Amino acid sequence: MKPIADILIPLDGSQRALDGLSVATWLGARLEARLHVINAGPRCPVDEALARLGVDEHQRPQLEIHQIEEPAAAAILSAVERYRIGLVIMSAFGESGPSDGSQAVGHITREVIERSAVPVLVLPPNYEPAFPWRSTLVPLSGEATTDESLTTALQLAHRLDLNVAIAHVAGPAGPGESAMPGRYIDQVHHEFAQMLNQLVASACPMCSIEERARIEAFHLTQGDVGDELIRLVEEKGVGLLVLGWHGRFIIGHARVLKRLMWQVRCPILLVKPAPKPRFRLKVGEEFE
Amino acid sequence: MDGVVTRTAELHAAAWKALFDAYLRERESRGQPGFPLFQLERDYLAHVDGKPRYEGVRSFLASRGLEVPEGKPTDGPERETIYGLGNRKDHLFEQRLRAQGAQVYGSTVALIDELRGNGIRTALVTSSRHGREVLATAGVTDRFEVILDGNDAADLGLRGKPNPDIFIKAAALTGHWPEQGVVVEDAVAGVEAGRRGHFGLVVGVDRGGNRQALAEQGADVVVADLAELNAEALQAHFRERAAAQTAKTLASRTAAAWRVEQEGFDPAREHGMESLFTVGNGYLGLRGALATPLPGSQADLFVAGIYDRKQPSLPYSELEFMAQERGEYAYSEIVSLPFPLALTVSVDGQPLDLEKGSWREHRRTLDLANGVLIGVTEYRDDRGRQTRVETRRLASLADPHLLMQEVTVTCANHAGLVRIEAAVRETSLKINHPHLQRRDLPARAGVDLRAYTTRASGYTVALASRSRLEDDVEDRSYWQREASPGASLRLQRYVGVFDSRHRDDPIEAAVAHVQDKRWESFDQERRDHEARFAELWETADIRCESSPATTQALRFNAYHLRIAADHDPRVSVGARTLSGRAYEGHVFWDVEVFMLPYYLRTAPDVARSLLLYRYHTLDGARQRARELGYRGACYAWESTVTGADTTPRRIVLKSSGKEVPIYTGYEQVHVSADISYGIWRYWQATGDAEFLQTAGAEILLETARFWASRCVADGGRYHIRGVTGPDEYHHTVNDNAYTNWMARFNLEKALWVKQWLAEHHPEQWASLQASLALPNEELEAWQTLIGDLYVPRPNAEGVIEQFEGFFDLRDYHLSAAERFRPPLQRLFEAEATNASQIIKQADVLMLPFLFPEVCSREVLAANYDYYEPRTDHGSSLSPPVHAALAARLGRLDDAQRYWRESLWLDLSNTMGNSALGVHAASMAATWQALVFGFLGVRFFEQGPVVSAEAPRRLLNEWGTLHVTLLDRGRAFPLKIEPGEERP
Repeated sequence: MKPIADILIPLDGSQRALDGLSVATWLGARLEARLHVINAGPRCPVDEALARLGVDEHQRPQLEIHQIEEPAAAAILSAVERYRIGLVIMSAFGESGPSDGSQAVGHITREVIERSAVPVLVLPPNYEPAFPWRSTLVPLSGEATTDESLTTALQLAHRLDLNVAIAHVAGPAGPGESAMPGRYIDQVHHEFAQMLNQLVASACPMCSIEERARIEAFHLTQGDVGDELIRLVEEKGVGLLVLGWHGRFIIGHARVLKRLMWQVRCPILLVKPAPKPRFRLKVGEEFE
Repeated sequence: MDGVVTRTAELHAAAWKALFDAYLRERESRGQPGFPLFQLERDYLAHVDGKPRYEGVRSFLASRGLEVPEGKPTDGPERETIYGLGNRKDHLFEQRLRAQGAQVYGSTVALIDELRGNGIRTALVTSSRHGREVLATAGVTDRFEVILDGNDAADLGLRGKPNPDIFIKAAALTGHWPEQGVVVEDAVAGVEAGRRGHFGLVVGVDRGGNRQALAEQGADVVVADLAELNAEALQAHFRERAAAQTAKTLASRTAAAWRVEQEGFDPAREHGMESLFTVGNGYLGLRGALATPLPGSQADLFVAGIYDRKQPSLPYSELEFMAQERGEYAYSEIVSLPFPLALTVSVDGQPLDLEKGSWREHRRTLDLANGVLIGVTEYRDDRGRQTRVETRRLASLADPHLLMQEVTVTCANHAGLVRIEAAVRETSLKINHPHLQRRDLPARAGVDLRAYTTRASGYTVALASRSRLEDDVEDRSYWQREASPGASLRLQRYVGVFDSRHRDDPIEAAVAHVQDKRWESFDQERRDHEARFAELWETADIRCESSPATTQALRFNAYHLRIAADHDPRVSVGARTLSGRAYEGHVFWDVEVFMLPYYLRTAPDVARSLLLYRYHTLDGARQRARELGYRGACYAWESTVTGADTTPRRIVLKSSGKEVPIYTGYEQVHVSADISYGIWRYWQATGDAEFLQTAGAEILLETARFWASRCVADGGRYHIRGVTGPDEYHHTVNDNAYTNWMARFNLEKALWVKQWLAEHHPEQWASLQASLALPNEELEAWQTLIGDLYVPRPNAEGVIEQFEGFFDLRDYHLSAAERFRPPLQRLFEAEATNASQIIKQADVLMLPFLFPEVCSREVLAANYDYYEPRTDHGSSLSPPVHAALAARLGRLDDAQRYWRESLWLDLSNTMGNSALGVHAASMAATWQALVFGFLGVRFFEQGPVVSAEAPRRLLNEWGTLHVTLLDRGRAFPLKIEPGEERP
C-alpha cells in the first residue's frame, strides 16, 4: 500500500456526506494528504458549488473540487484514477438515505465499494463521530481476501498513532468454521500460538518493525463472527474497523459486513486484497 | 485457416489496407500528424496476420504510436475506437468475400483427405468471425470434425493467438490431448500458439518470406506448401519429435529433481520460503531469507544447544496473545541470532532489493546435491536499466563453524555507481532477538566482529566476518565502484560462528577461524563442503525412476534431515530443526521414534550422537522422576539442555482469560520407553557394544526403574494410570495400550541388557550395578512386573482398546472437513473432545508401526478399520503411520493419499505452518512408511530383505525404485521394480 496522499470525498449536499468531510479533514491533517471533493452533476462556479454542498467557508481553501457530469459512482471511480486517490471516504447512504432496512448501503456506495481498487472508508448509517480515534480492530479470517487489511491498518495506525487489535473468531461449532492457516493442533501451547503468529506475519510481510509494533492485542474468540466483532467494537471502544473483503455485495455475500454496517457506530474501512503476485514453487504438481 | 486451407489472405490484406489507409488519411485531413500508410509486405505479417481482428487494430496502431479508445464491441464502423475500426475492417472484408469468393489450396485438401482416410481426426481453427462462411464458400466444411472460428472463441472466452486457448479447445473436442496433435499454421502467432500449447508437432507453412520467423517461433517443420508432406512423412516427423522431446524432458526433469526452485516473489509466502531454503550443518541453521531481508523477514540464525529463558515479547515464537507460565528455567527456548549474511546493494543510490526495487525476475534455488542456496534477481528501473544480483550461500558440512557467501552484481545494460555493503543484520535487536545482549568489542582490522551473550543462560555466540571484492587487496565490508555495462563485481565472504559451549573464548576462536581462511582457497572450501554432500547422497538418496517430483521431495527431506543433526552428543533435533522458531527448539519423542530409524539406516554415527544426548540429560531425567514422586529416570516430554521438562502446565488466552490445561508435560511419560526403543533399534542396526555397555545400558536400566515405580498393583495385575498416550485428545487415562506396551518393552530390554552385560562384560555390569545401587531383588521384581503388567489385547473383533473405557466414549463421525484440518473447537471444547472417540493421531496403531512382527494381518486390519475413521490427524506424525500400515495391508488408495500428504507436507505447506520451520519427524516417518510400509523391509543376518509383496505395493507413478540401506556397517543398494500384478 502506498502512503495516502490524496483523499476523495464525494459530496451531495447531505449531512451524511458532510460527516465524511469531517473525517477526511481530520485524517487529511494527520496524513498530510490533499482533499478532493467530488460532486457529480451540472457544473457551476466553485464557491457556489461548495456552498450548495454545505461546506463551511473555512474549510474551502483546503479542498480541491471536481465537478463531473457523469453518474455519481462512475464519476467517483474515474476521479480515483485521475487524481491518484489513495482513500475514498463516503457515507453508506447519500442524500436520499435508507429507504428501508433491507439495504446496508445505498446504490452509489455499493457500486463504489464493489469496484474501487483503493480502500473506501464508509460511515455506517448509525455513525457517531468520535475523534480522536485511539484504536482500530482488524478481523483476520486467514483467507487471502482479508490479508491486505492488516497491512493497511498498520500503516495507517503508525501514521495516526493508533493501537491495533486483531480478532480471529472461530465458528460456534462444527468443522470448517475457521480458515486459520494451520491444519494440525499438535501441542496446543505451541501450535495455536504459532498459528496466530503466522496469521499475522503473512498478512503484513512488508510492514516495518515500527508498524508491526502497533499490534497491541489479538482476540481469539469463538461464536458468531458478526456478534463477536460487534461485541469487540463496543467493548474496546474501537475508533476504526478495518475489514478485508472480496468486493461482492450481492445477496448471499458479505453477510458479516452487512450486519456490521447496520450495527456499529464507528467508520468501516474496506480493503480489497492485493493482486496475486507472480510466484511459483516448482514442486509436486508444479514440478517440471 | 487462411494461408493453410483457404486463400483469403489477399482479401484480408486488401481489407486491412483499405481500412488503415483511409483512417490515416482521415486523420491527416483533420490536421493531425501524418503516418506511413499500411504496407502489405511489412505491416500485414508483422501486425495483423493470424491475429483476432481487434488485436490486429491495436497492433498496427501501436506500430504508428497511435492510441484510440477501446470502445465497445457494438461500436459502429464510423466510431474511431479499436472496436469501431475493427468492425469497419470487417465490412470491407465481407464486401470483398462476397464479390470475389474464397479459394482453397488443393495440396492441403489432398493431405486432409489422406489423413482422414487413415482415421485421423481433423479440426479447423481460425480467428476470423467469418470462418464458417469462408469454408462454406470454398466447399470444404465437411472435411473437419471440429470447427472453431472467431465467434466460437468469443463465446467460449478463448484468447487469441499466440495464446494457445483455441488450439487446446479444438484438441479437446476431438478427444485428444495437445501432445497427441499436430498444428499446421502459416502465421507466426499461430506457430507460437501451437508451441505454447505443447502440441506434438507444429508445421509451419511459409507462403513467402516467413520461413525463419516460423522456425524461430517453434515450428518443427517448415514447408513452402503442404504438397511437400503426406501422412507417412507427417507421422515420421511426429515420432521423431516425440522421441527427442521425451529424452529432453526426462533429462531435464531428472536434473530438476536435484533442486527446489522458487520463481517470482510473494511477500506473504516469504516466511515459508525461508524455512524451506534453510542451509545448515547440524551445528547451525540459517533460514533462507533474502540476502536483503524484508522488514518482516524471520531471518534467523540458530546454533544448536543455545537456549535461553522464555521471552514473551513479539514477534517471538510464543505470541504474547497466549501467556504461559514457564518459571525461570534458563533454557526454555532456542535463541534466534541475527542474520549474518545480510547485503545492501544500490546502483546510483537506488536500492536493489525486493521491498523497494523494481524487479523483473526473481529465482531462489536450493541445490540439494551440493547444499548451496542460490538467489538470482534481475532489477529494471524506470529508465530501463537492468542490474542482476546473484548470491550463493552455504553452511559448510566440512567445517561446521563456517558460513560462506558469494555475490555477483552485474550492470547488464548500463554503467553506474555500485555500492555494496556486507553486514550482520542487527535491526531491532531488542524486538527480533530479545534474548541477546550485544557485547562491546574493539574493532578488528578487516574483520566484522559481533558477539552476543544470552540474558539468562549466559552463553556467548560470536560471528566474525571477512569479505573481499574480487579485485581488492584488503578485506572490508563496504565498497563503492563505477561499473561498466556487462561487467560484474564479485564479492566473497567467510563467516565464522563459535559459541561458549564449544570454546572458552568463542570471540577469539571466531576471529582466528576466519583469519586462517585464504581467499585463494575459497573454491576449495566450497568443494570440501560439496564432497560431504556427495557422501551423504551415496547412502541417503532414493530415486523413483518415473517420478522425478517424488524423487525431488524425498531428496528435500533427506537434505533437511542431514542439516538438522551432526555429531555433538550434547544436542538433539528439535521438532522443527534449526529451520524455525516453532516448538522453541524443544526435543520430543519424535527423535527416537520417528527420526532415529532413518538415521540408523543412512547415518548411524548421527544416530549415536542423538542417543548420547539422552545420556547427557539422564541426570535431568532422574531429577524429573524424583520431582514426580518416582524412581529411576523419567525423561522430559519437552527437553532442551539439562533434561528438565519445559512443558507449561497451562496456557491462558489473554483475550478471554480462558485457561487451557496442558497435561502432556507430566502425563506423556511414554517418552522414556520411546528412548529405550531407540536404543534397542540402534543396537540392532549397529551392534555398537561400546555404546550399549555404557550409555545404552544405564538408560535402559534407569528408565525401567522408573516404570517399576510408576506401575501400581491392583486386582492381581499392574497398571499404569493417569497418562496421556500419543493421542493427546485424551488425557489422564488408565492403561493406555501404547504406554503399557512400551513400558513392558522397556523392562524387557533392561533385563536383557543386564543379562548381556553379566555374561559378556561382567566387570562392567558389577560396576554399573553398584553405581546405580540396583539390587538383584529389584531386578527380579521387574521380571514379575513384565508378566503381570496389564497390556490391552485384541478383543473378539481383534481391536485393541486404546485405554480403559475408550470403547464406552461417545462415538463421533468425523466429517471430511475435519480430517486433516481439526477445527479450533478442539481448543475451546477440549473436554468434549476428551469425552469422545475422536483421536488426534495414531495411538494403538503406533504398535504395529513400530513392531511390524507383533500382530497378524487380521489384527492389523481390524485396528486400522476401527481407529482410522476416528482419527482427525491433528499431528503431522499421523499420516505417515497410516501410510505405512495401509501399504502393508495392500490398501494402496489409502497408502497413497497418506503418503503424499506426508511427502509434500512442507514443500506444499499442506499444514499451513511450514513458515515456522520444517517438520523433521514427519520427513523421517515418510521415509519409514516407504521403507518399512511399502517395501516391508526387514533386517536379517545377511542384511535387509524387501517383502515379496513390495513390487505390488509400489505406487504407479514411481516406476523402479532405488534405495540404499545401511546395516551393521555395510551399505545395501536395493532396486525394486514394480510387479506386473497390481491390486
